[in-house]
Amino acid sequence: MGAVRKCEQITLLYEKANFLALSDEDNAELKMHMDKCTKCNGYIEDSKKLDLWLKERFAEVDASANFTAEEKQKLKESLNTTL
Amino acid sequence: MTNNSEIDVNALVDDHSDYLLSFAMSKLKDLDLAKDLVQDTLVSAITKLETFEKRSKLRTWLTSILNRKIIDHWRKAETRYTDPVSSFFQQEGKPGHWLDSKGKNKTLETIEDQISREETNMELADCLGKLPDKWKGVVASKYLEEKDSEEICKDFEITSSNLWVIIHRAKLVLRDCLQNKWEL
Repeated sequence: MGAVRKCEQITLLYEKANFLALSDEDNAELKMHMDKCTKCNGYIEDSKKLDLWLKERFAEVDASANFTAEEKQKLKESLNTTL
Repeated sequence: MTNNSEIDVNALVDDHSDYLLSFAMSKLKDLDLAKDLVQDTLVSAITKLETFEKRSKLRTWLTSILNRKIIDHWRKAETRYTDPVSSFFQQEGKPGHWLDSKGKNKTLETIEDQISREETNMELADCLGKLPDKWKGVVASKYLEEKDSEEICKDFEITSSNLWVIIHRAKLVLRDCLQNKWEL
């Protein structure tokens, strides 16, 4: 389980590095581990793909997201009641 | 429009509701929830209109109210995730790649690539729906609004360590979900 725990910590460190600069110590640990671990290299490659897909996904504007005429009428009635 | 008696509710709905709904949908990807929050936003707006300072446009003010409501929704949402987070680190002997067959970056996009990308997008949307609401909010703040970690932590009242753990776990959940779909 030691190696498993190490990989979790290392990939977490990688995500942390996406937000801020790592300390020299963390950087060295990350690089040393990545030199020999195919699993964590796989995580990083796929994490980058997910970054790309998530950006694309959230960049999409759903032009079909409109209120129907009926919904707008109900909304107006509801708001007029609130006034 | 300076006080409640002067509000033209019809114009408010006609001029701004669809825009607000599109804004909410871009962040929430949940039509029913987006409609509910737009309605809440309009109710808040007409009851607090005296606080509207005309330094900004009405639409900008409405959007800021809606944005606050979306963040509140995510912040209050349950974050506990009881399923095992991921089997990724438990799979002995596997190299760790799980997205090899999908989404390769290509310079020339064929029709097949485009269909594949659209399928991936739909599958990703479905998998995003499986994340706890608060995680969805954090992910949207990072990838849609591209906020820095300080802003995200402030909005969601979490520590920076929580933020990295959420992004890490969310990616593992998305990875498992996509892998399950592609293995079917």
